[in-house]
Amino acid sequence: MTTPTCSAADRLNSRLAWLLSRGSGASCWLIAIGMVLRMFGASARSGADGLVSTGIVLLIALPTLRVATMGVCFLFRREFDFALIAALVLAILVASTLLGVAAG
Amino acid sequence: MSSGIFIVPILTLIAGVDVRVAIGASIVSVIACSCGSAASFLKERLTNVRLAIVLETATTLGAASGVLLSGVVSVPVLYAVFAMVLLVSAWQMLMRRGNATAHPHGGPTDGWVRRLDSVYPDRAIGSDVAYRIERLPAGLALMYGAGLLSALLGIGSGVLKIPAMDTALRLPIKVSSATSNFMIGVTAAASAGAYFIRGAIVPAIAGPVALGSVVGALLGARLLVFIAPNKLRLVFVVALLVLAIQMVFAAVGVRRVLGA
Repeated sequence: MTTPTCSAADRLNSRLAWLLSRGSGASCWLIAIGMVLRMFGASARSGADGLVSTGIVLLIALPTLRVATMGVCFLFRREFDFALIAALVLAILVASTLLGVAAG
Repeated sequence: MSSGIFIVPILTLIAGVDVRVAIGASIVSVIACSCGSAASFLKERLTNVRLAIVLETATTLGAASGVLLSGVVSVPVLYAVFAMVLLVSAWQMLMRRGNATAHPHGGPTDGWVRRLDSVYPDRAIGSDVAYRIERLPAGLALMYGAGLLSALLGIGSGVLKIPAMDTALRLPIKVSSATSNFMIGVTAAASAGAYFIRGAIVPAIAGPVALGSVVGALLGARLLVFIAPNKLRLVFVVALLVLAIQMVFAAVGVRRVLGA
């Protein structure tokens, strides 16, 4: 059975785990701070909504960033077939968003 | 399993939120669940990232098709199809309960598809388990369908992806769960951008939902490692049956069950 070398696979897993945990953590903090600020009344509300929106945008962007990271990692590991597949997924994601907006 | 299928009925039936806003929040919740728990699965080496990126070509393509088809296919027909798929999946998973970790190997012994094979550590049995990917074309076809229904129904479709991986690709249930969880975020992201630009993602509703989803996903990811495969499979079968009943109600016109 052919399996990828453990060290290379583990490095990729570590990078993706770092990206997703830090990204979702940062997003959660932004959303949580925004929600707390909302409780302090109308004066803080616009800034609070901005923080929550930023957190949500970061969360929505994370899967796309993850696919891009995978593509770059595969490229550096000279696994061009998987890098190409990651690029294809990225292209479909962009196309799907554009289609959704156009169909809106 | 993603939280999307539970969020929409909770928000619409209990909180009285508009269904489009509920679906927007549900999509954010799906991404939050996926990203929040993926790190834990990756560290435990349960996720097959190579297989995930290959299958994501089919799920995102399905989601893009779903975006195009939304509004053309009638919703009751979709619910009926979904209910049928869930029932068949539950039956298949139940039939394979005694074969949780030892999958019979078939298909080609070499070639490109063998690069997707891997191993995972199973703490329940205390050793590493090697597995091979089988029937990749069937898996891709099922993933396309999962992506299509995901975009049309506004869910992560983990309930479809896990049985598809379990029965078509013959993956161990823990690898199926982890890899599906890793993938649902990308499937949801295919429509999330459009929902956000359209204004269907309201920060005041989606924010708390996302926060709760991440916390729940982190707890679930830690529990998965310690649960025996057969028990996990049984939990999925029960969840699939409950969701199938909901879908049947929705298909025959009891729409409020799903908040649609």
